[in-house]
Amino acid sequence: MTNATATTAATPTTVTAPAEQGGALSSWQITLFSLKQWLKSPSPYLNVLGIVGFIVFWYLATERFKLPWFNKLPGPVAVFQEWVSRDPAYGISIYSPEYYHHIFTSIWRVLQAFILATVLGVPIGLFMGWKKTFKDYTFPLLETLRPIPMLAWVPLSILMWPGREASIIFLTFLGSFFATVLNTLLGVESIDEVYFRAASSLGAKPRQVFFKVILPGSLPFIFTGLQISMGFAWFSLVAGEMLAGEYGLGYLIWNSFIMVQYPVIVIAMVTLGVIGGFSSSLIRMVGDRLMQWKVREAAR
Amino acid sequence: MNTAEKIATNERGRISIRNVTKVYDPDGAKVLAVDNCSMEIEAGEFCVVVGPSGCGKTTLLNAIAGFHSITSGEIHLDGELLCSGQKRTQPGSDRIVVFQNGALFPWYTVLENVTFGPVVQGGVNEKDAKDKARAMLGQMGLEGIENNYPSEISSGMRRRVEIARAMMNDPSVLLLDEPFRAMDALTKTVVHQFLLDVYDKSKKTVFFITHDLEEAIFLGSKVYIMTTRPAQIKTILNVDIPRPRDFRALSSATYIRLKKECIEAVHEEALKAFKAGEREMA
Repeated sequence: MTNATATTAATPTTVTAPAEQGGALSSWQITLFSLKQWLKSPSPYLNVLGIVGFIVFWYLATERFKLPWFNKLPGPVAVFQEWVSRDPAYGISIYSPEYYHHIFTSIWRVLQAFILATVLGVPIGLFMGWKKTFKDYTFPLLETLRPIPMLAWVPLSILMWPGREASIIFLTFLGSFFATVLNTLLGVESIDEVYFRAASSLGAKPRQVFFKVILPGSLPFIFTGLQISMGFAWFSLVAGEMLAGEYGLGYLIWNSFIMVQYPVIVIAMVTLGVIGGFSSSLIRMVGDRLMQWKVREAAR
Repeated sequence: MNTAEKIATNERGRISIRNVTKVYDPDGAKVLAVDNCSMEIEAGEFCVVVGPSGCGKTTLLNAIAGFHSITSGEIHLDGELLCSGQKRTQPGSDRIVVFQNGALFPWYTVLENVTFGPVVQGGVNEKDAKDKARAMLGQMGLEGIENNYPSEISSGMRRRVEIARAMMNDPSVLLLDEPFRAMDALTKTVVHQFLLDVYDKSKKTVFFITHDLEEAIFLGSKVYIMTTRPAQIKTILNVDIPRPRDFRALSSATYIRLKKECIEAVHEEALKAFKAGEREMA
């Protein structure tokens, strides 16, 4: 549901995008315009229909017809009732502080790992793209470490770090870090040679080229990378929490499975999905904020 | 050159290209791009280099700009050695390039693009640079778009902004590498007129590369016709159409005569290039 899809989904009637009426627009106006166009298009209704369709199917498969493969799974009604219950059978609902404790533990871990991965990964990626020698040193190493699944890191990370908290954050960081570095590097390499030439022709020194060409020029890829890396962070977090956690949504899922509290598994899963999606759009919003030129391009 | 033109002529921007040869050797297969090419470009001259595609025109421009080295020969700017077989001066704001497909930074607004040169070179504060840029955009008929991003303005507008961005640095030479190549005929007439006006006002040396003969004669004071690769100067045409020029020059007798001469010279080369291409394919 980016601005880009909103515009393309708009029906080809004679709509004048505000950018065509001349003059510079605030980002807010553009967002509002895109939102209006989006509501006029069929997309939002189809989006809702897709989700409702899935829930109906889930209901029919589990609670209604109890199809094989599905008959052991908790149905949507059971999950929903548990989720909003003031007195939940398994102790987890929107009224239980326990639930929020799990959520915040997970968010806090992801936040630490993600910030660390970004603060380290973006400069390293930029530097790799900027200095060929540095890339020669680091790229093969990165490409060997990157494909190792996060679960394979679990034993080493437990051995390496003192407590479980640190090892979970380390795992989450790793998943996030590689994606950030790689996408930042690709971002630098995606910049057309002509901009480097133009900058040097205009008298820019290497440091200025770095801040005025390499950094802004790779921002679109960096932010795509950050969205991917956020996804990886949640992925690795859950893996880490399942194995070594004491709190957190990953731990909740695994623990509920062992304790045969099936509805709680689904509650935690949906919560993960919502938070994951929300964190992704938060990154997109920050990106749009920093890349007005991209937003306006899409609004045309 | 009439007397009025001579007086207005800026004394900076004399380019002397002496026996320049460039051999590309990417994978052992030596390709002679420019062969012993010499040109003397006076300060304030609007020099247009015409030649078939792939003949080595851009190689010459890149050497002046400092993007490439040359194999042998020398290029001087105002008596100073710019590059030779041993030396290469880094690109700088005395020789600003306007590129084929445009190179306005998409992440900067028009104003930020135009002030880019003065800001990175330092010595001016940002406010002064902005004021100067606004004045320049205004003079060039480009007001009202300063806060737009390049993607929001038309291609003709973008090209004019790019010329303004170059002029902000008061360069000795303006290097234009087929800058109007991908434009439709109508937009072209507008940007041509724009460039002519800029030239008439500033009297900068212009080194303009194109394969469009009409454009070459309409804009240039001298048209250098190049041979097929390896590039050498085949013919030099003096374009004695008086300035300031406008679209009416396109129907003048001089223009038509020059165009005929030009076509004949270029056609021969084009045929050679075409045949050489066929041989390579076979």
